[in-house]
Amino acid sequence: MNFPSTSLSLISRLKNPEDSAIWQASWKRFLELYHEPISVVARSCYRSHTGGQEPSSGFIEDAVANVVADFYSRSHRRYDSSKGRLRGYLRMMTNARVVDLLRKERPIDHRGLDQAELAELPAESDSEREAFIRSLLAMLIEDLRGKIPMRQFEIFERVKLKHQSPDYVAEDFAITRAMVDRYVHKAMTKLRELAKDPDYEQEIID
Amino acid sequence: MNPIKLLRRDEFSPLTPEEEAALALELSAAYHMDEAAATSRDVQRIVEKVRARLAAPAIKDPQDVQPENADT
Repeated sequence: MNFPSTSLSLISRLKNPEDSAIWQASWKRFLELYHEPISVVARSCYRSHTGGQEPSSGFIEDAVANVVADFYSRSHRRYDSSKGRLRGYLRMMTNARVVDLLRKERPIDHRGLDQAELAELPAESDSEREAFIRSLLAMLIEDLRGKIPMRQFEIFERVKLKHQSPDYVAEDFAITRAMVDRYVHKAMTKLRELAKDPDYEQEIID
Repeated sequence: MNPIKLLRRDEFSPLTPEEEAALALELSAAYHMDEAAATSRDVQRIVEKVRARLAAPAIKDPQDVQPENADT
């Protein structure tokens, strides 16, 4: 399921819970786009709070589910994009949910641990940063799908994303190779334009 | 190399062939990650868990996040 089409970029819509219909309809899409970085953050938090132990896949699934459900049910009302990145907010929420689950999973182990230490957010790792950027790229591609003619996107998709030969695509669409190159160039130009959206800019600051 | 920064590079500083190749790889990887998520059994299991949690009545959470964003 794609996000319902609006004039706003995808990242802007994620940051704007005022339109509750779009917001509620889009949680599954949000999960598809963000499950990977949330999983990476959850693993990192688990390792940080357990002295390097590895979580089970069930633990990570529960953590991701709790973050997404929380984000969509109530906590998102408190997200304020003027105070920081969506990425930072998701990391903080994920850490909080991992701590919750750890307390339930092993209450005896953590009885003596200091509350503040357990809740402390580990520093962002390279793998977290890469996963968030990959999700942002996927969002940009989805934004592009809604902003250019379908045929142009299909040609871009096959050449740039699926790495099909431009000559093969030209033959399949019964157009010239030069037209394929032109469509791909136009799509890349639009993608670059979308990447300059201030909301994306805020998310990629290192 | 941040692929979104490469996309945002102004037109007067064209990408090198290496940067073009890196950007193409990242775009393709992001696209395939998204495609795979739509049919992934792991993601489907999480979808069911989220659905169950959204359907359940809200419970007061003692470890809830702070109102201020913790940006890093």
